[in-house]
Amino acid sequence: MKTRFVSLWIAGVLASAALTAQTRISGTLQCGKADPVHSIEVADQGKAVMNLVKVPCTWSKTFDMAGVAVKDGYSVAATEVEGGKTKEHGIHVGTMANGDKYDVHFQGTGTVKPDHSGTVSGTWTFEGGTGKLKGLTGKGTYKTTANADGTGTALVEGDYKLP
Amino acid sequence: MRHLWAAKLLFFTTLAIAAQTPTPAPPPTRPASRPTTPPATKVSGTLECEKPQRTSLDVADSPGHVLSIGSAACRWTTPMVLGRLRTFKGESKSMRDEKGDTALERGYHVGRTGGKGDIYYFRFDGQIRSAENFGTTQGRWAFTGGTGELEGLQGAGTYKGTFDDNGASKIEMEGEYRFREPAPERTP
Repeated sequence: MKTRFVSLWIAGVLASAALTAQTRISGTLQCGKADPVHSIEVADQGKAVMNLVKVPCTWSKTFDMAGVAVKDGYSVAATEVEGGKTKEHGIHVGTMANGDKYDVHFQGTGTVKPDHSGTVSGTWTFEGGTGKLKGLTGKGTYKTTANADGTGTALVEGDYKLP
Repeated sequence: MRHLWAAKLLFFTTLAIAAQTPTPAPPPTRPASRPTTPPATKVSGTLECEKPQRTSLDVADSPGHVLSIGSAACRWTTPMVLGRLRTFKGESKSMRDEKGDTALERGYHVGRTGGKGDIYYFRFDGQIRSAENFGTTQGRWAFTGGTGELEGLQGAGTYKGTFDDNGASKIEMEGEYRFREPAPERTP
């Protein structure tokens, strides 16, 4: 009886491990200039600026999910810049090589130089997908390096899980 | 018997010394004008804002998911009283993340007081819930400073309000404020 109980327990652990198995991912996202860009200035002490942008992106270092490679996408983001610091949050809608879609929510903070270059670090969360990515969940981190010309590169890593 | 007299003598001597000892002075009170921690004062007011001018981008990850930024002119129908000044009018600028009937909002308000027009600043963040013809909002706000007599203004509180079908809003705010003590001057 005791042996049977232990066996069931081990089976349960293995089953739960399989159910919660996550797959590590890592990639590099190259983003172009934002278009459109909407900005409003706040006449407060720090001369804050709020921006609303849409940015086209392509994966230069891809990864696979459900056996399909990520391809490209776009991000819609709202950012606040004040006193050389920036805070952003937004949604990235990505497209896989087979046309399936996935959604990512992200938020980060960073610094901006007067020439508009800078860096941002943050976290992201998968919010679902279509086709093979239906039920997609996961999360991770990113580090973006923004160039003065408005382009940028994001190093993305994390885990995903499919039902 | 001799010991009893000695004890009585000691007792009365102690009483006499105690009676002549001056009562310790109370600890010095701090000058009222420069307290170490400025006291907070309760404050409340009602802010009415016109329909905001908003710019939106559809996210297209799900129906009705929109990010927007915008601004609205506002006036105080019940002013906040900040020391000798009363808030008069201002402008709110915010960003919203709307999905379905719920939106998260974060923004800045810059306003002027009546009279000299000293400026106050506060930030706010909250949640909006919309129904068919109206909406409700609630959240938190925090003073981030001011000019003139409002220099060093700080404090925080909560707000709740309603939107009409045009997007104009009426916001009830309450909380507390204080003035940050100026940094001590350096001695040479």
